[in-house]
Amino acid sequence: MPTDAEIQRELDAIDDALAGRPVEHDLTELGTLALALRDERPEIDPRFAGQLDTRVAAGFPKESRRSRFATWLSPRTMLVPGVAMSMLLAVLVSAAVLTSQGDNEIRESLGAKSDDSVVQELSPPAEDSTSGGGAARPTKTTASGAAPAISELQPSSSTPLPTPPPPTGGNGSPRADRKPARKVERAASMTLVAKPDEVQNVADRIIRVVDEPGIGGFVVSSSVNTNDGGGGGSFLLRVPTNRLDGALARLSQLAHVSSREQSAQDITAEHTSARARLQNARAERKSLLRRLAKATTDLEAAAIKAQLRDVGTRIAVARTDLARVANRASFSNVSVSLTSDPQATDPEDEGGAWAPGDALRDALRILEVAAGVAVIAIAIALPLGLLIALGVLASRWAARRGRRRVLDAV
Amino acid sequence: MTSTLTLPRTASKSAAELDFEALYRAARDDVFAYVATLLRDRAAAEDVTALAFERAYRKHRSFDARRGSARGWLFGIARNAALDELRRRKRQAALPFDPEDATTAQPEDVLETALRRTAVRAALADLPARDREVIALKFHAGLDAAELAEVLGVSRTNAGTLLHRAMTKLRGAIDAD
Repeated sequence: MPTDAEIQRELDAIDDALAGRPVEHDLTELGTLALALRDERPEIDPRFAGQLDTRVAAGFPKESRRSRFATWLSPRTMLVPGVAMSMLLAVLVSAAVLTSQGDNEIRESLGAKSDDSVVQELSPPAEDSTSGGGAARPTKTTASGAAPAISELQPSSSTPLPTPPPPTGGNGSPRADRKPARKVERAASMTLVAKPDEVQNVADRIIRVVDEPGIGGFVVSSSVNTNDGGGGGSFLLRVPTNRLDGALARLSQLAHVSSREQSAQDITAEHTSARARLQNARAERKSLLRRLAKATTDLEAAAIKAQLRDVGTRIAVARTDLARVANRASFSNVSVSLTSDPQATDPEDEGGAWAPGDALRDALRILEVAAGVAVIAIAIALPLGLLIALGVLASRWAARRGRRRVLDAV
Repeated sequence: MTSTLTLPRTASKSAAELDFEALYRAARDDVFAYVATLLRDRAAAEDVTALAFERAYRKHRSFDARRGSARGWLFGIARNAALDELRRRKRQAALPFDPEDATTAQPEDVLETALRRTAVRAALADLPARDREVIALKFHAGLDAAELAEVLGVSRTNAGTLLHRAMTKLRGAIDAD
């Protein structure tokens, strides 16, 4: 094993030989070998050298950069970043799906609400399942001379939010812990004020609103009276509960709104009770039918048949009750009073002239939205960027490792 | 080892672009010689040489002189390109025989020189790639000890040891023939 000094001596002899300096006598052969190796140096082809000179002078034309871009997009190069992005997308989609499912469950448990709806009070569910339920608590919003803004309608602070009814089912069934869907009976009333010569027109439009395909309601009753002094009318409308807010918004556009009220009553307990009665009656009928099949005497069979008739009646009543309760939740009553006032303003004129305060509010709102978008973009871009960076680092590490290995493999 | 070819110059060059051109002129043939010896394939060596200079051109503005010499930086790029080529092709084609220059040697020396060159060439071709690379960097690219260490990513002492080891193997292969 040569010493470090011997190694350095031989290396110096190589450098001396390459530099044309004399080499120590015992290292002549090494010096000769060094020169021979230098003589074996491959020479560049002049044709290739000229082509390369041209490309360098031209700054390596775009075609070569395009091919380099294609190399970047090659499957091998994009493998790790591609896998990383796929995993991130899968995580984001799963999170979005889970979040939307959670929101739907919350929405179902609290009852459907539209975005511009009035904040509603929910009356506490009835203690006795056979009663008619708790009293409705109206959310009164009376404005004098101006249409009340949606945001001004707030629940009373003294009314606590009710707790959801206890879950039904049991015996360890998978549905035992599921909360029943809330059933809410909603109602609304509003007073519209129109100019005397507009009363009939507004009345006609009120009825047309209910008939619109997007509303899908019907008129329960209506009465209109017009005279020289003005006139008025009253309407009782029934609209699908899930379209109540849209109907109220449309009605509000017809004339000046001097008052508007909404109420909601939780009838989940009633619905649950009615359904339970129906289910119990059906179960009882099933049991009686089994007993009838096993009856051995005419007397016994007659007695069972009498009970079957009785339970059949109870089934019909329970079914009717259930349908009635369901209908109360599915449709909402809207009471509209129409009065006349020569000073009434056209709702299209309301809203006021555009003022600097409006512009400031709009600007602040835009800034809020922009900031929210920026935060979301950063929240998405940051982990994505980290994953891509990790992917690139992993690719480079793999390339370095591969280069080290190839020298030993070749 | 410097190039004697003249590149067309463009006007208004910044200092960094001029440095790249100077580096290219000085190292073009050296890079080709190194790559050709390592790959033992002239066609592949031309491709890799062009690729190496293209990469160097793209990155030349980010070169930091505090991290090493320009030649060491350039040969590091060339080395990576050559190793990538080795990984991709895993060829072991031999270089075609270069004809002797018949005007410089006497007849009785021609045979001896040819035999020596053949023996050296054959022994070099049979060396493992790791040893062949060190010899190519030293004798064909003309790197000094510091540049050799920088390209290989080792200390100067280790670079000298690697070179000595490669030369020992080469001498053993030649003597065995």
